[in-house]
Amino acid sequence: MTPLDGANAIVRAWTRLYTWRLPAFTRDLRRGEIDSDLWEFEHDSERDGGTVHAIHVLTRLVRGIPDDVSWRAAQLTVGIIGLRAVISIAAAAVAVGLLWIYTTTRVVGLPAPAPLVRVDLYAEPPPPPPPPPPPRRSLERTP
Amino acid sequence: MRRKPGGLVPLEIAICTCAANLLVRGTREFHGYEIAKRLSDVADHKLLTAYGTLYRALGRLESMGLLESRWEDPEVPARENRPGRRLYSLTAAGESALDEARKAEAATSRRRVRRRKPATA
Repeated sequence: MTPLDGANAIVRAWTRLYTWRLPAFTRDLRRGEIDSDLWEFEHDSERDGGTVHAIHVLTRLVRGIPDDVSWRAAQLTVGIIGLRAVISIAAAAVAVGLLWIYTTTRVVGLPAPAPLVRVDLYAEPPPPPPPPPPPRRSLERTP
Repeated sequence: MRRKPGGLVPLEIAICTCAANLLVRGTREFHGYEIAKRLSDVADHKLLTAYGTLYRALGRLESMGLLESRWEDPEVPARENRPGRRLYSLTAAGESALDEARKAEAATSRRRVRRRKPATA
């Protein structure tokens, strides 16, 4: 699978998303046109499927998203529920993407070092020696 | 881009102009990718018009009656092993709308030139 195939798959997925639950005629018309455009681009001048062309396709997709959403909104036959669903799914996809970018690019922080504690080391004078035992008294017998 | 009532936005004028040029060269019908390529050639852009912008504009022009479209005969894409093309063509109303838009554009640019001209006493 070349990068261009991947980009084409993303465009098709987005087209499926914003045409979801539209009347079959309208939906197939737009999907067919996009399919044709992708095919023509891929086969125009024998594109090699490289990253540059994939980025071109994705740029065309991203720049057109506001118009896709407006076009979808203009299809009044679907009602507001369909539009809400598309906007919710698109918003969720963007949120997941941002979360993924954040988790993969953030710098993992090490725990902060413990605050320095000053420890003064000094030798205490040895305790005074115990007092000498009292002298022994001999027991004298008294008559 | 705010649309004047009954007027065309620049992208729509550009599409009609490309369609008229193709017609002069003997090509009556064109498909979306073809017009995107012509638009980028005219504007000297490497990037083609966005999918959403292009097909929305084509749809608008069709609903205004300035373009008409049909799907090509299914045998042709089946033979060439490719998806079918939706072929657009400029209508007579499209040609006259393009003339009107060009006249309006010319009048606007004349007014701009007059305004920029320094007053000579």
